[in-house]
Amino acid sequence: MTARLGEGGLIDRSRPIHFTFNGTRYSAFQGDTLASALLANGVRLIARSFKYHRPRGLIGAGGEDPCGLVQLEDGPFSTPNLRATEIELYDGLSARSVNAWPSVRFDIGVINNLLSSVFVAGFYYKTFMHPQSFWMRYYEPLIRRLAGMGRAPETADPEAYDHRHARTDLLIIGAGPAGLSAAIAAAGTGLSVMILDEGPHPGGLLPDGDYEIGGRSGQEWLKDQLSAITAHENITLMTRTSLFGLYDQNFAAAVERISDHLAPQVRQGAIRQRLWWIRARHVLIATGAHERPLVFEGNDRPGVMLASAVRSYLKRFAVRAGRQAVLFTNNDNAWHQAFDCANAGLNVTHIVDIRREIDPALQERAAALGIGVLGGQGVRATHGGRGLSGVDIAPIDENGIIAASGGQRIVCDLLMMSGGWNPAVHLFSQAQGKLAYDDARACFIPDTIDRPVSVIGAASGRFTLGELLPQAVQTAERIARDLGYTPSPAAIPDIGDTAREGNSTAIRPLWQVDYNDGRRHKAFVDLQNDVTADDIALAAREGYKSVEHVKRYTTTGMGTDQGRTSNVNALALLAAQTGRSIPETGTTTFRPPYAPVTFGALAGRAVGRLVSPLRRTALDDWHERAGAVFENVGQWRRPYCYPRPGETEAEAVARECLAVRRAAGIIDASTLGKIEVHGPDAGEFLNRIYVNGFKKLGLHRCRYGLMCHEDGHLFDDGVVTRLAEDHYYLTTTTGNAAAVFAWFEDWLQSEWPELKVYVTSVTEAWSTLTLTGPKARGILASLCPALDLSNESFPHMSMRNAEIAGTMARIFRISFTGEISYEINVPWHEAEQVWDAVLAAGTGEGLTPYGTEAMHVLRAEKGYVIIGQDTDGEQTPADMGYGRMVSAKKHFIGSTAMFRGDNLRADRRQLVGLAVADDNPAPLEEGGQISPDADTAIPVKAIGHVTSSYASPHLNRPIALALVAGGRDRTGETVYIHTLDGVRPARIVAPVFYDEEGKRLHD
Amino acid sequence: MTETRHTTLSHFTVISAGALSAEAAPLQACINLRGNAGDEEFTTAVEAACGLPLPVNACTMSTGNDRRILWLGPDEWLIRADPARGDELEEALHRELDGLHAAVIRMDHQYSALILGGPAVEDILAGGTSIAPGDITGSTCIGTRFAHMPVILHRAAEERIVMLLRPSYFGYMVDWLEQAAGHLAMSPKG
Repeated sequence: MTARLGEGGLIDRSRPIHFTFNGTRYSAFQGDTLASALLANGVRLIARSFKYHRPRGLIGAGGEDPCGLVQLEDGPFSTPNLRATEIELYDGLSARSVNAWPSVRFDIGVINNLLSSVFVAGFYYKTFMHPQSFWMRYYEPLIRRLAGMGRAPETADPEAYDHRHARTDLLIIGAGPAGLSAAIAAAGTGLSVMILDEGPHPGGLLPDGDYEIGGRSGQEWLKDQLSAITAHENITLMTRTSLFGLYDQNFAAAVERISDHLAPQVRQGAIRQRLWWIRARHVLIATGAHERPLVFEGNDRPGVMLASAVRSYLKRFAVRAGRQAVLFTNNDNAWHQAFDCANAGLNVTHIVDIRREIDPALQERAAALGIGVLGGQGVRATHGGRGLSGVDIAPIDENGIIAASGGQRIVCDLLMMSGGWNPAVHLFSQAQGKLAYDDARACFIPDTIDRPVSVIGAASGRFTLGELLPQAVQTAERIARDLGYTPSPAAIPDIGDTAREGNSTAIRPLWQVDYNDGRRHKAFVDLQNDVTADDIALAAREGYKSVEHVKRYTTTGMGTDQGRTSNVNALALLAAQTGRSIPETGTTTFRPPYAPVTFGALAGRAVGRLVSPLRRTALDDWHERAGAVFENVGQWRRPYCYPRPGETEAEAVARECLAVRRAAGIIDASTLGKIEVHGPDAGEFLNRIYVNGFKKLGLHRCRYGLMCHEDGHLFDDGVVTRLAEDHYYLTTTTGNAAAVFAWFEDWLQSEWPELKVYVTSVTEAWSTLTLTGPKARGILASLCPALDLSNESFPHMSMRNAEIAGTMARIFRISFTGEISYEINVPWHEAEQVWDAVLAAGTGEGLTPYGTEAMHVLRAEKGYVIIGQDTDGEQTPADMGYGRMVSAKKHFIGSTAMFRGDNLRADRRQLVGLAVADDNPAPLEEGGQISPDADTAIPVKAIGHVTSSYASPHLNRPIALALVAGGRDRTGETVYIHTLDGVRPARIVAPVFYDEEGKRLHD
Repeated sequence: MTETRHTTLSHFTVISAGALSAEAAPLQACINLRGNAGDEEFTTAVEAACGLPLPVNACTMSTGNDRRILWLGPDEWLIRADPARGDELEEALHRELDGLHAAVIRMDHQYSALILGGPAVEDILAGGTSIAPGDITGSTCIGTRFAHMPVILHRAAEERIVMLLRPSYFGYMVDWLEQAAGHLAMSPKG
């Protein structure tokens, strides 16, 4: 542990732990992050960069770090692209670098660095274009391999995730000094407060510096605040919780990392992460600020770090990031950071400041600490291989132009840089807040917003405690008043001496060390995406003026860090290149997610068995016991078939089909949508909804109906029954039930409020058992001795109320098989007793339960269509052969459009049957394209496609339904079905393959 | 458990995981009522038939000894009553509403009911919906989405929450609640 100080830091030295990085075992302490532990062990080379595979180390110490991406753990627990700075170390942790193949020290991709003159902005767009056919086969796999960025785990995620909804008066994002002060002030007025922080410890930057508040140390003050918060019942403080999206109406999404800081074997099935959906009456953003890097040649060399990161490693983790440090800056605050570091034991040899005029007080303190001061100078270049060994210092003028020669080389292994601070305005921007550029502070700050969202602290450009603590308390009180609470004047904290921070406006912006020599320089703006200042300039020269376009063209600000360190530098450079001011250039609009979110957290509990609500019928247990194979139909699960032991699914389907044709079958049709239509205008309403008429439907009679959208194209079908003068009952297709019901309500509420009609969904009030086949009538007769089942008394397309198996049933004689059928509707939960009774009555008659596939085969044999399978949303009733059903005597939805020219064309796709014309017993391929000729030379002329295709057990040959252009006039013609497996001939026939006259329905 | 998972004809305990209890309530008589809340004749007729005022404000509920009227929408209500009183109630509604434009649809089986209780009920509810137990007072009923399923929530005796749902969702809901209660019981160590 060469770099660890003998004492200090927030680590627990009594708990040494071990971890592995890139195969080497190291030791560290509980309380370390992976980043601090690597630095403590002298490991500076962490990763290879995205495009050029340059060696990269740590730049930051928190969420702003763009480079230290690692793959954590192996196997199912593996997570790619995590920031080493945010991984809390646990004993046994294992991680490796991303973007390095075969190893981080010897990386083949480094050739990209040598070829960097061709890897310029927009390189992918310019290079991998021709020939087009190479993209899928060569370019994309190659780029993916080299660009990599970690690997997704290949096995299922064994961990549990949770979702939680919450509401609060005030949601505070960030538990630094501003957020904590505001929380206490707000809760004191009676508000409920939730305060979130992404790190494991609240306090923001307080533990990093030698701050003083009211004469006490920042740490002591923090301790007091936290105990006040813990004691306050109105405040919920959540750590390890990142708010990643701030949406409309103050709806916020955050992810809480509950057990990521524990070893996988310790978590033992506990929830790993919880996604929070929070609704807040007011949102207070206190997300702090990110230190801005400086842009100069070689600023990506391991050993070049943000000043704040160096201080953070030193003070929190007692880790010296180097032996000899130099500070390069343009602002006063960085001087104080350097002093804190020197006081904590870091050897800071020089402060290089681009400003000539420097506060004498700062110079005195530097002198007292033995730090050399180089005013009016800048860093021209860095030296070293995989780590920093020295920097070249040279005079820099007012315009940022650095002297090309002269100056001096300073030996150092650590360069602290600070270009000022960028308020973390991302969430404010997500909430549609407008930003303003503050010249004095040289940063973007929140300006106006038309939502109940406020910003305090460094996120608002108030970088010093003296500024931000009063602001936090005053803002909390204003919010309390806005929400109807009466604040009692809270004490503004006594700040005392704040000379240890540096004034927020003591800065001279420097967006780039300008070489002004016409040569190319590797001065990085975005270290995660390998974008240099030259790339921004090139984009500007190529005409990209909008900051949004430059972002997409150069990729700057993309990726997991969302441009925390790069955005403002990039747009300032663009402003300079295009001769505009920074406010004129503007920022990109920040969008969610602000922080990476795992798919697991987004999915929550909706995985595996619970992936989506599964609806079961009342007979589900019975089906399961009977060995049914299930299929999902919408949200429902329905038996597909009931294979017997040793039987294949196809054999089971064939057996079930033949049983219906020869004896009887029974199917659970409970999933049909069921709607009751009630009121004096019910008949008129149905007349307007369906293409055919229902006003004159006889009592207890049923009629098949077709529904169209306004375009005259079929939308749903079903059977309507008249239960009473002003009372109808209708069914819809299973998958369309909710849509049809919403359609009815929409028309009633929005278009036809004058109609006295109420519609009510009764889908789950009734289970539907359909008994069908030549022996169906006999079986039903044995169960309902009092019911006259003769054709005269209970004809096809009628309904009767009757008692069956001890319950009252609505029995509909309607058929979807072509055989005599009875749809027996009984109260939902009484299905099983009736089902059992019917089965018992049919035992000697060959009664067979059948599933959805047999149902499909049987209906296709009869040419009964399924709207949505045999139609593709563009068929009129006439296209499907139902032209005669369309009433000419009334208006209905679609009646106008149905008769416009295009809907009457003779070459529209019409429903036909197909009889295969080869010896192949296999069914045609559903979806197969139909052509008038067998020629496969491109382009093949397609005139339609196969919509339904089955092996018909009854006919012992394949049958199919199809949509074919002008199909009815082509009856008798041979067409060709083109699929990837070849071309098959078929003859166009009428779309009915069985009992064309429909005699069996009326027998 | 799986044998009875899809039916609520009788009362039984679904989950008893310490922190959460869920019981399936036996079926109640259930009537869906549609009508014009702005028509005094209608509201008077309903009150005469049910012996309870019709709740006309959003998300409210009237409760009597053996029956409740739940507001479902501006012109829709659900009346739930002791099974023994269902026929009588339905007849009374038809009688009192005779001649008015209204719909009375008997649907005893359309809803199943879960009664939720136990110290974790608040946490469990927060996992599935933004409606918190505090929103549900004695006189509120709230139709919402719970874990992607439509439900109606109201309060029963002894601080317990009644969740009405379509019977087809019952099995999935119980699986979901069981898993949620199980996860809650496992807090990370260390």
